[in-house]
Order: sequence, then C-alpha cells, then structure tokens
Amino acid sequence: MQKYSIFNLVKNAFSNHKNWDLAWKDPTPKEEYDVVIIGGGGHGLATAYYLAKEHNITKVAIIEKGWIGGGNVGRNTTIIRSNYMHDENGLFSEFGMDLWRKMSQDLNYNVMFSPRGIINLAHSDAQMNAYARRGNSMRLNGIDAVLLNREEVKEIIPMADFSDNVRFPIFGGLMQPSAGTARHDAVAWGYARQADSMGVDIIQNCEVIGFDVSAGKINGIRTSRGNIKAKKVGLCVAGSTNILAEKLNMTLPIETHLLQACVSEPIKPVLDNVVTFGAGHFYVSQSDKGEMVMGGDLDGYNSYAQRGNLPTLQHVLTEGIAMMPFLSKLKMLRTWGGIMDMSMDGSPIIDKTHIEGLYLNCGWCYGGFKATPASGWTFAHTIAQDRVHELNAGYSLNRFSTGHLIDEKGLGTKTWIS
Amino acid sequence: MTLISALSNVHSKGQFGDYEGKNENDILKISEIKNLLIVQIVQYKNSSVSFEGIDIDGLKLKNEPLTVAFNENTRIMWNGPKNWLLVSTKKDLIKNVVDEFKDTDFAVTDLSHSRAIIEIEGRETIEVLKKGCPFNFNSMEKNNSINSTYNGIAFIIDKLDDNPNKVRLFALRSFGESLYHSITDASLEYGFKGL
Amino acid sequence: MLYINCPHCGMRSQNEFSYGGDASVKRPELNKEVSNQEWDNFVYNRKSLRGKHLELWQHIFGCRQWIKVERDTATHEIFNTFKADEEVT
Repeated sequence: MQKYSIFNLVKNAFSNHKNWDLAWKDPTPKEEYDVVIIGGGGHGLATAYYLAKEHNITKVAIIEKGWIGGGNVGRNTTIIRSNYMHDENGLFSEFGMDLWRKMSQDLNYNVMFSPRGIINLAHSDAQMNAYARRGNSMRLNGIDAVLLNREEVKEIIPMADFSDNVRFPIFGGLMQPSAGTARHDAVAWGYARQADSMGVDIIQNCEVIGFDVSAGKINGIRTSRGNIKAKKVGLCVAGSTNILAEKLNMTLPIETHLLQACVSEPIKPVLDNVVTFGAGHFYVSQSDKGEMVMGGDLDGYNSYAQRGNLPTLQHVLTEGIAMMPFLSKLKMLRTWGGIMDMSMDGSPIIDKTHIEGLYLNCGWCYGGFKATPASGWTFAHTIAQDRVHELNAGYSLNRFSTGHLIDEKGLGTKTWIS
Repeated sequence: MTLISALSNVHSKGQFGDYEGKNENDILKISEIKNLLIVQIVQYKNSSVSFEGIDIDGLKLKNEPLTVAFNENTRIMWNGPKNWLLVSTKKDLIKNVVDEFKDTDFAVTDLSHSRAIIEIEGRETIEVLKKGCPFNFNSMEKNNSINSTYNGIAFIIDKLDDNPNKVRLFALRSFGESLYHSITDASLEYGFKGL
Repeated sequence: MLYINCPHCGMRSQNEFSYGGDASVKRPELNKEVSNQEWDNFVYNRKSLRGKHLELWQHIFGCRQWIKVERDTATHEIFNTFKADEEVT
C-alpha cells in the first residue's frame, strides 16, 4: 500500500496526482471466507480492520448492499464523547477515546480528530446536581469531567442566551474537555483502505438475501452476487438489523427509527465546542468549513425512509434558537436523515447469538459514530475468540431477559420517546 | 374574593403592530373573555345510557366531530367521543348540568377557573391561526369547533362567526400567557387592537 | 408531514399526534402462567417491519383517543386508520 505522507504528496504533485493507487480494490466475492462481515459502514469496516490487525484473520469479506460509508457513518453529526454515567458505557467509550486519539497515525489517514470539548448545559439546580453526579461517575472511571457554573459557561460560549427572561436559563454545564469531533467519511475510508491493504475483500453493491444455517450453525450467506461460504458471520447493519434478523427467524429488542440532522450556511468561526441543550434534545457544533452542524430528536415513529419530516426539524431548531438566538439568522444549507437501530434500553448489543458462528452488533441508537473504533475492536475480539471481551460483556443480548439493562437515560423501553 | 383573570398580567388595551394608516375596523380585535361557566361532560366508557334525551338550556348533545350545539348564552362543543365542553354565560347552569348528568354515567367537571380564553375578530383571524396551528381551516365552518395545537400548546378553537371571522380560543389557564404571546406575536403583522 | 385520518375527528396533521409503537404486540393474558419468552416478546422484542406496519398513535392534541394506523415504514404512506378497539384483519 502506498503510504500517505508529505513526500508522497510532493512526489505525486509532479504527475498532477494522476498516479495515486486506488485506496481499496473492487474484488469479486470468493467462494469462502473465514469471516464475513455484513455491513460496510464504520463499524463493519473497523471490525474487519481489527480482525486483521489484532487477530491476524485476513480471509475476511465485508458485504455491503450499497457503497461503503453510505449509511449512518456518512450521515451523523461527527460527535465523539464518553460522558456516560454507567460503567459499561463509560469504560467502553473511554477505551474508544484512546483509539480515536491514535486513529490518524494508526490508519495513516487524517481523520481530523478534534478534541474540542463537549458541554451539556444545565437549566435548573436539579439538573446541576444530576450533572455533578454524572461527572463524578465519569471521573471514577478515569474520564475527564468538569462541572462549570454559569459564569464559566458564559466565558466559553458567550453567544448562548444568558439574558434574564429566558424560559430555560443556563445554570451551568458539564464539560468533557477531551470529547470532540472527527471527519466522519475519513473514518470509513481510513478503515477501508487499511483493511483492504491487509487482505480484506470489500464487496460493494452486494445484497444479502439469506443465510445458510444448519444444525444451529452458520455455514454461509446467500447474496445477490452468489453464495458465499463462511465459518463466521458478523452483523453490523445498524438500521437494517431487523430486516436481516427476520431472515434468521430472530426477533430482537430493536426498533428502526428516523433521525435527522442539518447544517447551516458556513459562517466565520463562532463556536469551538460541541454544545447540547439541557431542556430538550438539541446539539450543535461548527464544522471546519464553518457550517453549524445541528441535530436532536428522532422523528419518533418506526421508519426505514432515510429522510425526515419538517415538524421534528422545526421542533429541534426551536430548541436551538432558544439556546443560541443567533442561529435564527442563519440559512439552512442541507438536511438529511438516517435510520437508527434503537435498542430497548438505549444501549448497544455486541454479542454472540444462539446460532453458532453468528455474531450481532447493533442497537447503537443516537451514539453509533463515536463508538466506531471501540465497537469494531470489541466485535473483532468477540468474533475471533468466540467470546465477549470484558469491555462489551455488559452489551449482551440476553440482558433484556435477565434484567441487567443499561438504561443511561432512564427512558425504559420507549427509547424513541422525546 | 377578588377574581383575577387568566390573562390579566399580559393583556393590555390599545393598538399594536402594523395598525397605522389602517381603518380601526379593518385590524384584528383581540380580547380576553372571562366570567364564563366552563364544564367538561364525559360519559364513562362502560356507560350505555342515552344522552340524546338530555336537555341543557334547550340544547342537546351531539356525538359528532366539529359540532357545536348553541344558543345565545350557551355553547356545547364536541371534544372527543362522548366528551363535550359546555361554555355558558349563565353561571347557574352548573346546577342543571349536575342534575341532568347522573354521576354513575357521566363525569362532570367545573373547569371555569382553569381555562384562559382569547377571542379574536377580524378578516385575518384565520391567517393568525394558520401560523401556529396545522389544521386545514378550509374545512372549518361557522359554529364548528376543533381541538388542536398552537405552537405546541393544546387549545380548542370555537368558530363563532365567519363574516368577519371570529373565534374563541381555549387553553389551559397555565398555558394562557404563552398562548397569548404566540397569538399576539402572530397578529402584529396585521395590526391589532387589544380590547 | 404525515396526515393521519383520525377515525374520530377526521384528517389531522402529525403534530397533533404522539406515537405509541407496534400495535400488534399483545400483553400475555392475565391470571395465566407467563413464560420468560412470552414476557420478553411483549416488553422488548419487536419485528420493526419494513413495509406495512400496524401501529398505535394517540391523538393527544385532539380527541385524546388512541388509534391504530396502518403505515408503510419505507414510504410513510398511510393506508388505513382504525379505532383502538376495532379488529384489524
């Protein structure tokens, strides 16, 4: 593989950048693989990469119905954080933070990781108390957390509404300084390029039609480009999980829902953190291009449409304007939607299944992007060793039966309620 | 006991918004309606008695969407299946209502003190409503009533007249000031007179 | 914007409704032995169909009744609406 470096950049400049290698190949599916990963999104690509890198398993194929990085890894708001209260979520995400910090060097691909800090605003004394508690839980797990008072928040984001007559006054906030953003497409492309260079076959435009299961064991998959034998199969298909589960006669604690995001026209630098509104569900950051990147609630009903409706967008942006009034002056540049695999407790599932050789990675709800490296790393471990790692032991499929839920938000089974 | 109306802190008299150079009769008129009897009448799900024979101030209940049974003092709006809202200037009608609707079959609740009422009159009334309410007003006629939402606030519209348009808006008393702000803000464009 | 035909009130906008999830889910019968699997299926497990989906909505800003809506989860087309106690065949 051609290394990306300043020297290669200069060298290739002499030939007008026409002689760069392709970043990844376009192979035809082989008859058999050791591991087949279904889903060429961030999590699938990362899983294949860590299978090859950490476990020396390179006879791997990624099967993608469309094109790699065309789903949620290309549709999110690029926020990376580990500001969770529960141990399972905190330790898992903080492990991921380490991978994020090293990612650009690790992948030889600039993922533009920018640890600019995230601030969750608090709008009441009770919320400040809750944030203090969450912050303490984070610090016990080795995650950085700073409780800010009103003046300290005003210092960092003076453009927020600090006037006297607001419905939801800012009391303070909880900040995770090491949180941030990254270039989402680069994450997918970086993982794809490295996985490909280690021998992983990235097979695009290939739809999984069915599974070959006999005597409780997976033998392979049927696809639109022929049958592929596989010793192990991993599902990494986010919002399409239920569609594939149906083909396996499985019913999962997952519902597929619609989440929208939007960006404004680009403006001069104004916001150098990620900020979330505490009296609703709205978050905003500013991209390197200057666009204000915004998102919030789910549309709130089951959907596979990958496009949203205006009422939700209006509701979300109303919250945004309540928090930062200047946003009302901006023109909207683009809006888009993706489909989320909403689990019944708001936390993901990375586990084996009752079918031998079939592994499940789903239930990412709002937080799939930031989990990309940790999800890939632990899922690769689960597949390669045929047992869960301690980091994803809590993300078991049977926790719903046993009652060991990880209900970070306390929403119960209706995680789509806003 | 002093009666303090729901909107007494926010409603003010005078002309507001884009009223200059316009005939006073052409701009919207916004007023607070108070001192009405407001009673919710709901028939229990497991009750099967007929409500058709019941007579309140000469009016009969109708279990049909949009309908309002009315005379010059009293209006009974359909709020949902077997669910009505009675509004009357006759405060002592409550005795009659309690007598007629047996408490084994009906829940009768006096809501007189827990609602805020805004009345809007003028040509642009419906335009003001359209700004915050998703209802298709083309399908609403005189003496129709609907339950809907205005900028996220649950409210009831009672259309009293259509020439010029005249509506009464009912909201929970605690949401009254918010609704009033929303409505008057939407009315500034046309100019309005607070009565 | 979804337009939902409330069987009680008529055609109304999505803004007036709140969503209540899969309407095909049935609570296990009362006063009967319930297996763990039956309980999981009731509380957690969902088919989350792509295509025709029968779901509950509440006309929360209108008549406040729960209703059933038959909607396509891929196109958002609404085929039919029913009162909550109506049997859907």
